Amino acid sequence: MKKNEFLDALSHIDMDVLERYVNMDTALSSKPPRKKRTWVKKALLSAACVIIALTMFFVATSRMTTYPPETPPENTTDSTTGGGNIAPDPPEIKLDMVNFFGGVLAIKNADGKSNPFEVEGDGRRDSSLGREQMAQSGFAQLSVTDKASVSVDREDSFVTDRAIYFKILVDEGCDLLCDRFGAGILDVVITNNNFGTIITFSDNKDYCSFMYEKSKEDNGVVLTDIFSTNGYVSGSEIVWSTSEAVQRFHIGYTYGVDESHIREIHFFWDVGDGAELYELEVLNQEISYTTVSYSLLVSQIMDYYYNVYNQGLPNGELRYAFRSRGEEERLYIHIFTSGEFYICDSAYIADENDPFAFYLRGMNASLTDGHIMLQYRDESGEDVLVQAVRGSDGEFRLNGFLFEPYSITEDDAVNLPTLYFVSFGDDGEVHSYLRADTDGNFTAAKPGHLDPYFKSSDPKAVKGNWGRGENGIYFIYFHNNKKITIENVDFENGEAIVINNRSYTLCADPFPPDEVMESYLTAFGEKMGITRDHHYKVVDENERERESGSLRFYANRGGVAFYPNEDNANGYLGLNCADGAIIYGDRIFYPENHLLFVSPEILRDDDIVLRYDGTSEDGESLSFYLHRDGTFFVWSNTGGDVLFGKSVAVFEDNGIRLSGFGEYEGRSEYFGAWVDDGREEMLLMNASFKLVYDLRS
Amino acid sequence: MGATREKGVLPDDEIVELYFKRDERAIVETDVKYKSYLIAIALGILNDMADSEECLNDTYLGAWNAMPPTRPNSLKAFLAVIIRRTAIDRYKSTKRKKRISSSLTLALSELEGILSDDNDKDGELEAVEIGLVISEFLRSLSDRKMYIFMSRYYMARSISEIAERLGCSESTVNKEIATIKRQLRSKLEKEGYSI
Repeated sequence: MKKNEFLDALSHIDMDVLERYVNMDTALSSKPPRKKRTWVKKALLSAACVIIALTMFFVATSRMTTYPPETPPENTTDSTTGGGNIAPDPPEIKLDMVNFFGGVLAIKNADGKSNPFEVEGDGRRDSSLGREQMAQSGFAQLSVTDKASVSVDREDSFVTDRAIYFKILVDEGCDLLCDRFGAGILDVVITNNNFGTIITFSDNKDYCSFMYEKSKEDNGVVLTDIFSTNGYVSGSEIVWSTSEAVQRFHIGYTYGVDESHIREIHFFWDVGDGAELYELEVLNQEISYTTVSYSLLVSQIMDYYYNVYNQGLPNGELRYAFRSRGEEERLYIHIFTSGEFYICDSAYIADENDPFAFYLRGMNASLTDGHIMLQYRDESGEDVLVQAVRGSDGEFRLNGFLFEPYSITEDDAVNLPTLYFVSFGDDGEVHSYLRADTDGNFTAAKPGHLDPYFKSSDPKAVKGNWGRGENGIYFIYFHNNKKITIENVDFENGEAIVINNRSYTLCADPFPPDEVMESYLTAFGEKMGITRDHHYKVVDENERERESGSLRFYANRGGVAFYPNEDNANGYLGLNCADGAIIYGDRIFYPENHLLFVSPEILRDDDIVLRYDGTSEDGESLSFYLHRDGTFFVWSNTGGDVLFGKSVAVFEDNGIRLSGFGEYEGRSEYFGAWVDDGREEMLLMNASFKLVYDLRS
Repeated sequence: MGATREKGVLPDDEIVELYFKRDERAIVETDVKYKSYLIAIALGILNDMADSEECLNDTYLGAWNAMPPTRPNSLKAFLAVIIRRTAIDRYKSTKRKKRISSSLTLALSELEGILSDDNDKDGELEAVEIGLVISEFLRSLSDRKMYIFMSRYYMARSISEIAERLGCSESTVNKEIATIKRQLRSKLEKEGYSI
């Protein structure tokens, strides 16, 4: 359906619907602005409720000294607040995370002097990792203000790298909790995720979770949403909770598929009974909860409890990586949107010689229908792309092949003893491959004989790349300093046309916008950016060519860039797929987890040709949308705001006809000018896409 | 609604009666009562005050020509329809020349999974049919969702404005829009419209 059709269709909406809307609108507009989450506020403001505000911070080693894990608490139940007493003028109670990952949780009064509660954790976690993670999440300081009493049961408390679990005794003065649960013992789980921090109370039948988010304004925290057993209560952020979690080792992960769609994956690992995986999927008020059970040897799973990283993939799938405490083995768990998951062992790591390059040097990843591509930088600094295929038998196989993903120049290409080029069919299976060896020979074949491993240190390695050209898939590799280009490969018979010395390094002429966008689609829509190198040029600062009066567009799988024609590095909009950064003017945004989001679903869409998720230097989560019509948006996932680029055309129907630099408010700025049909109707916008001049007649 | 008279404002039924009497005070009273409301609708679509004011004048003229014989149940809704159509027409003609940075443009971009860009002529007949489908769809929604949909895509209101009206966060509105989009997509697919 076209946009105009939609607009016209809305014009034909039945009057009864419109009147219903108008009446509601009138009623709403006649009301004073409704305070958000009134019942929450009411509850929170009630005299005897628990007000939980979060600002967690880690007091490092010095605090550990103050409350060492081995030091028994002076009181496990505060004499003034425990045991069901209602203090007449209770002090603020502060839950201070003394050393979260060291396994100690101390709850103390606001004056910091007394220490009514102290909870020992299991002490298994790596404190350095914990601090880092927690600092990133803004998990800082928890305080509880209550006129009622809350006492903590030390015996049933423990700490993992994702959460604190403990039990509290709540007396009748605690309105907020008692209204929901009644007085008694409650399980409490405090955890944090990408969105903020969650405190969950549960009486083993029901739960109620409080979601806190970091406040933009003052770096504090705000209570944003509440979920309970009965489902959506307020707001729409999901929080997880289950009383089962209290008894189990738990790793949870939350991420947004988009700004409104949240998925969470939780592992609960029982000691002795294997493990379970839960998936919560939330789309606004609709929550689907999938339980996927699998059996896994406890000894194995416990070896891998160290969560190295987890990430969401562009199509909504998840990947976890774990490594053992001895840092010798790795475990991957890949979860598909269908609920299936696969556990891969260390063979999944492509480079045996550098097992942690995968983690340590960052990674880009993308997953198309049937295969996964992992990109990392090895010890030598070269970037390696590993492709693994999910076979029809449901197992992951590493049909490994490598190629240099940024350019096809000899210097940059990956060295391999044997080079595999693999193509994939629409079914996601390996369709065909070509193998080039160090003798300069190549073999084209159907799949079935691909070597699963490679080594990158062979001095006789060949180098290469592949792509999709006018004559179908082409392969390029270098042998004895000579570039070999192969086209028209006959996979059945292992024959192909070898074209040597054909130049594939062509300059990108300024394109008419449609062609640019078409190329764009080709570049990113085909297996994550197989380039048509006669259309694209490597993005290289040193190779930029400039032409007066035009805007240059460059793209390859390493990125795309829109360059102005002046010698000013701040003046371009670049999407640098190579290091995963979005470069916009002089600002650089880095994708989260070094993850390159190029969603096939989005790419197939008529409108959006590229989505790029990243994090700004100040930690804000951003999505960059490039539309087919040339407009782009930088969207703040945190606030749901369009930061800039709002409906601003990069490529209008008639294209950008002029771009360059100039002075604006004393600063050198990049300006884009939009000219309609060659007439002198011009808009000038600066690098922030603010309208500077409107020269339209 | 029309029964209560606000300070200095005629009830709707009296304004309509002025139209039927061909009394030009009808325009004045309409302007007093609904100018800001109508301008807001046009601005959401066009993001241009001068254009919006022209649409407003066209709306008054349209109302003058339509009443009589039309006697709307809700004058407010009736005027909203006129100004929206007027603004949409202007939006489409302007959009052919340049990009419009309006709330409507942004709202439409949210429907990227459902709508594509326009190049062809509009099909009036199909628009009527789709309008019926969307009406049916809106009737199936809760009041809240219907309100969000209409505010966003019919009135082209901003997310922040909708959130303020509903007393919730923008994030919440965004999430509800995502749900509505999915439901709309499902509905349209079910009705056989390619999206």
